[in-house]
Amino acid sequence: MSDDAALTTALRRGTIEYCVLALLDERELYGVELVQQLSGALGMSTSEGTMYPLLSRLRRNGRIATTWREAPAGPPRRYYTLTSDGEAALTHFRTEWVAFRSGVDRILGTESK
Amino acid sequence: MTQTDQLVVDYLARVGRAAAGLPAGRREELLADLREHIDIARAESGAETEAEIRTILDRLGDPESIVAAADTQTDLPRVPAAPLPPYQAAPPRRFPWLVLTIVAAVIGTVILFCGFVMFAVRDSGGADQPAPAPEYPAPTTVTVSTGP
Repeated sequence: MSDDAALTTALRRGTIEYCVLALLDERELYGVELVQQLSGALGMSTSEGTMYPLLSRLRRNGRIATTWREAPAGPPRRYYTLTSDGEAALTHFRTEWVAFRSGVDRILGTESK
Repeated sequence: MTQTDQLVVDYLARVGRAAAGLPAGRREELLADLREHIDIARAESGAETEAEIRTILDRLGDPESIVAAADTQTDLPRVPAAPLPPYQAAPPRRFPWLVLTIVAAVIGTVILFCGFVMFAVRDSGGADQPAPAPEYPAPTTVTVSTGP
């Protein structure tokens, strides 16, 4: 793994799952939609598959849930939804993130003026 | 089975082989998730040419990376298993100075304290009566008590 790839992997670790929760906080999404939105936003469009293990873990931890729905065309879709545990985790993370980010910005000298 | 179906089957077989080390339940779940993704992506884009299927699979990424992600998805975030840089001992330079400073400070405090005690004993001893056995061994009383 190149240094750049290792850096972005390290940066995503620990934050990406909250991006999932935040997307699902807006509306429920089925796998393909969720994975494409996330990978599009985070520049991971050639590793969409790596999100499924993450979704699986969030499901096991009870932060998201899934329900099947019929689609107007094609196979039924499995929609991912945020649970109340997931909502609480997201709220908590938002607070932590702001504090963490501003601390790092202060140290790096990257505060927005 | 069409040639495009064969591409999908081969891809999932590669994932299955890469995931041989995962618990069976997790492996099956991962394969089911990926199969579902491919089915829906195909249905939505009407992708039927070989190139179109390859695009869907390329976007999913290579099987080893997907399984590596599954492997690290334990219930707590883990530090990536990057090779550690060669161990470097912390430079020992500052450490003895710190210890010496502390030792000197302690000795200084003890000396000051003893000095204070000696003065206190001498003052309370007074000039008009022999000193009663003092609580603290003071050099002045030690010299008085010698002799047969």
